[in-house]
Amino acid sequence: MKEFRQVGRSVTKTDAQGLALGRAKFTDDLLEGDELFCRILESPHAHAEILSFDASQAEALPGVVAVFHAGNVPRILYTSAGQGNPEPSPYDMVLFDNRVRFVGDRVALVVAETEDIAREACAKIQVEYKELPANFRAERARHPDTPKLHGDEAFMPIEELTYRPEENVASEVLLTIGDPDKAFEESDFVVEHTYSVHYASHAALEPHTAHARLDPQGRLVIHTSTQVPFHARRITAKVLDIPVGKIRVVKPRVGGGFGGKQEVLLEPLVGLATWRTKRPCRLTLSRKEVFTSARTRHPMRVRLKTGFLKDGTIKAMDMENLMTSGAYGPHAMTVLTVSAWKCLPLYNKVEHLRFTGHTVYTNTPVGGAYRGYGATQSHFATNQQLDIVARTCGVDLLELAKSLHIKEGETSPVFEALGEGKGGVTQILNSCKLSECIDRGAQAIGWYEKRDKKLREGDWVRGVGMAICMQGTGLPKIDLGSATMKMNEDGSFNLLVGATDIGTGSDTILAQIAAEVLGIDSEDIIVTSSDTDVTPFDVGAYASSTTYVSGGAVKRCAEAVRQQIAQAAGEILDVPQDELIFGECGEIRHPGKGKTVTFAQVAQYTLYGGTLRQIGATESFTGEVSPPPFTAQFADISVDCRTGRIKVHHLVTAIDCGQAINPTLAEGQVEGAVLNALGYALYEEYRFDEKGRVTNASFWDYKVPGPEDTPKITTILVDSYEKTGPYGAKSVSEVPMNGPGPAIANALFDAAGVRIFHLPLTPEKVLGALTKEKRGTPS
Amino acid sequence: MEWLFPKTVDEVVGVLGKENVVLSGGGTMLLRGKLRENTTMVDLSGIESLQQIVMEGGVISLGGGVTYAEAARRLAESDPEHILAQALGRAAATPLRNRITLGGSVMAQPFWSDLLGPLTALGAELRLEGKNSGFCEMAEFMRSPELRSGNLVHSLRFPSASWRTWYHRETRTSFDYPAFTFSMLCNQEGGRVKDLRVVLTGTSKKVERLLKVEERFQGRDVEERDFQNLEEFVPETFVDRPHGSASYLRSMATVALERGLRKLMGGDAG
Amino acid sequence: MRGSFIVNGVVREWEFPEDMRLLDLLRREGYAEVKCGCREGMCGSCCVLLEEKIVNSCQILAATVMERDIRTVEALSEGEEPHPLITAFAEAGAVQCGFCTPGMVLAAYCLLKENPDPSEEEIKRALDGNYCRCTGYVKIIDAVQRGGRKMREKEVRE
Repeated sequence: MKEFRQVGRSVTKTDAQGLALGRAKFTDDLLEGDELFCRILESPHAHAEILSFDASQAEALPGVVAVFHAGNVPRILYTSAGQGNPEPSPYDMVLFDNRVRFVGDRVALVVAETEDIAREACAKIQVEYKELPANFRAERARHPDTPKLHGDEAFMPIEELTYRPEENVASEVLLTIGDPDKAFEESDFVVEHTYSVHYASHAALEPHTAHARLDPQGRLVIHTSTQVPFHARRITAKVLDIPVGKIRVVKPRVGGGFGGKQEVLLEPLVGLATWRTKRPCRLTLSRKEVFTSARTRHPMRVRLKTGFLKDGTIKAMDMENLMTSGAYGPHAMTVLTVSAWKCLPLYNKVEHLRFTGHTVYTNTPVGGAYRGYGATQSHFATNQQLDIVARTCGVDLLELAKSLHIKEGETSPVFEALGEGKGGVTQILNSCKLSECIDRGAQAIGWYEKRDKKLREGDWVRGVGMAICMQGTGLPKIDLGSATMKMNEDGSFNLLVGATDIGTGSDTILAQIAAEVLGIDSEDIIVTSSDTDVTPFDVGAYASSTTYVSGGAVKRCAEAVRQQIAQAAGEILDVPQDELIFGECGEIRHPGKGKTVTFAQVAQYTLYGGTLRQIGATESFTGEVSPPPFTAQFADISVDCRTGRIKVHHLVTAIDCGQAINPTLAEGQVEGAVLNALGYALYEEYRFDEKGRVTNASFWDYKVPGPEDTPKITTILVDSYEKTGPYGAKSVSEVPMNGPGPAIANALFDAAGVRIFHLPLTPEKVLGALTKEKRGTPS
Repeated sequence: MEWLFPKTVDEVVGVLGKENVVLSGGGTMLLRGKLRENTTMVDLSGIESLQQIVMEGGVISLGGGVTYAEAARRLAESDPEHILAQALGRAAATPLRNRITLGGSVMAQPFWSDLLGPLTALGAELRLEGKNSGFCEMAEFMRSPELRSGNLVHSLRFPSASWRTWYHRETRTSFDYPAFTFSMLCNQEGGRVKDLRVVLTGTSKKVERLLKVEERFQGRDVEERDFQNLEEFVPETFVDRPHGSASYLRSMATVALERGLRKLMGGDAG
Repeated sequence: MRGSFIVNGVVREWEFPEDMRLLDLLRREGYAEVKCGCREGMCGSCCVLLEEKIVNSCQILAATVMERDIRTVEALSEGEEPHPLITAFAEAGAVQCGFCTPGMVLAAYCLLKENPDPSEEEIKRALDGNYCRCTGYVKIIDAVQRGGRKMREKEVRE
């Protein structure tokens, strides 16, 4: 275990007290009261052409300032996906189109003096629709008779990426390694199952919201609840045909994102409204609109075929993924890729692999980034399949998992073969403590006391299950983070980062990294983040990149600043700077001559006294590799055999996230992901009617776990160190999302002998499986 | 829209007959729909006589303006297993229980109410004020939609007898409205079941007393515990809900019925 | 219509529409610590204390709570010193995005006033109307226990 001074300390989050006092400001708390209200007119149809559009009655209402629609807004194709430029997502949307493609799609934007007037005006807009046949099922999307959602105009900005809208294919990813078919023939067992996971909402407590105004110089200033301020700026500029330099995007505190705000949804709308009306404008989505018209988890069907030997050695894997994009394709290619890229390398000893992935358009809500980002979907399949392999061979699952997973010093050809827009990277693992995770997690859950025991208590029978998971840590050579530091006269520092704290605590841990370099306390680092006018570039909070990529930039920047301090100190003390030692709390000493100088003295010298210069630096970082974090996640459950209800007693996560910069914050990320995953596994689902409308777009019927639904949750941060990461860090926020679902499904099998391949594990579904099992029919 | 803030029940009765009058107890049901422009809103929260809780002479009387939280708390003080304390103590969630009023809930009668079942099982009476002033049995009130307009629920009352109780609400997560509820009361005398009451809510009939179950077990030896073929006694009036299909819910009701009866008769629910 | 409200101990006179919700009125008048998450009384971000009981301000028509004691999380702290419960939340790592926190703190405060040393079940029940999507509730429950201890210690000292 490495010992650091600031890194590895659970310092209190810099904004925690302000938030708990209710004084820290979110986007809506910064409204000045003079903003016009925007309201989106949404499509009532799943698929329709707009034959005519008449806003005259709406515009005539007193208090209506403008109505924007396809007729008066330039038609510029783009993607809302908050990704690098050019985005690896199809440009298949415009602000307002003459066609609507899902219930909730945008038809127009009304801008009015009050919310009530805006609502009334929306009702007065006359739209004549010609309904078109709609398709809601991914399995039918590619059928020649199925209506096509996107015509000639839509295109993929990165040409090498497959895009076939004529087949409703938003993305295709293919990979073959070795000769899988031959390997299946040579296997003792071949098992094939179809798994599926479903639509989900991030359900961040703060709905999407943004407001815009013109500053005195006529620049557009947008405050927004976003994970991607720089992408928001660029994409808004593109869609409104305004220079990037004319726009400033500021992110205040954000009330949760989880991927749902890695999307440029509202900024172009409030930007448009303000740019054209010249008045401040605001738009906050209702909770219903967040459910139907923002972004969701991508549903996915995973067909997994595994060929293995009697001792459990896996010879071949064939994974075929069919992913539902919904009506548009943001993240269509990247989530699909990740379902392979951040899953299959775990099984690197499998020499024969095939991956066939398709993302297809359907007339349903639009998928986007959601914690886990494709890996969650495929891990649901791979982990149940691993359980099946172990049971078929009669081998110990834990021993099998420990033997087959990728190890330190090893690689997988999948790393190189797949990438998120650019090619993949070759990487050899520097750190992987997954075996230790398995052992420690198994101990914490009481694995051997419960596994295969089917302990009964009345109608309840108990079981345990496990899942092994990986994710990534930033996108190598794609994700850019940067940091600027400057020194103040009292020895404190301003740290300006583009990195986006969405509640994760990145402001805090980046300060800890800088403080570690300088030997001071993180409280002496003042962080300003996510303001495109002030902070240097950062892609934003996604791909589990902030600690590693933004942290990497902060470390470089602090090192550069430290260099400058050393130089000035050398001048002040008249000694060679490389003989100086940085002590604690901003004290620099020359041991030989017994002379010391403080940071404050150095600052005074450089700002006022001696060689005048501002000590400061700007540095950047992108990863060369994306070192995976790993989890072994365990579930201890009981199932009521008469009702199918699952009670989760205990969820354990043992995680290798490298060196945790702040253990309490790292645990917090694990705990939040684990409960979210539990909700996804058991309760959360979208319900649709036959016309493609979401019928449960509310917390009333979309059930997220509350405090009384929380099981015992244990987090074990296993000691690990990733040498390519700042002070040994890897990522932590996404990977724990991947395990609880399959672990619970595996525990269900352990308890009751039924395996359910399709989430969510509702009581009715479980009971149905139990009943079939009792009757002797295979489920 | 205008607001009236009456201090007495008589003031309310005076406006009840008029058009577009909306009574506001805790207000939680109102905001689920849209409030129309020309309504006269009557805020009942200032009327002290609606907030009374009286427990004397073998009768418990709860004012129409009493909240779920307050009712649950007071009832649990003398009897933690009181069926109404159990039901109201788990309905909705803490902040909502502090606002939902008994009178408002009885008037609104949503199918997912946690109040209707226990009141029916307890044989509660409502005291109405307005065009039908006087007492009215719960069952009659549920049968007569015309009683819901032009009247205000002044209070409700039921005997303060002690019972063996069992309450079940069928939910997904903890903070959820129930797909159905079971309210079950009984006593025992000489080792036999006495005064069994079984009330099911949430079906298409909203509230159903399962008289056939009551007949089946009334007077039986408690030790007998014969729960065969209970399914025959469970109605076919379930409908599909997000919690599950009608047939699943009916099966769950059968299980819940058995478990409740077992518990009432001194065994474990299982 | 016009009415008088007592918010955090201060009497305020406000003009407001008859159908305005308490949540919207409070936010309009600068009480930004009261958040809007769903408008359905489900998420708890809008919780305030009404006569010392926790309620969803989004489910209350402002007209019905005139001249009654309303408190937001601001009322907890006297002067510059944050309430020990707030400090407990911050120190326990129970504050991630912070959107649920003001409501959560008030729910915890109500519990601890009645029940200074609650069990884990009692804490979960008291907070059952407050959703959090960030923390998994683990450190929130810990914070309530810590906060309870701090509050008891403070009382002993005083």
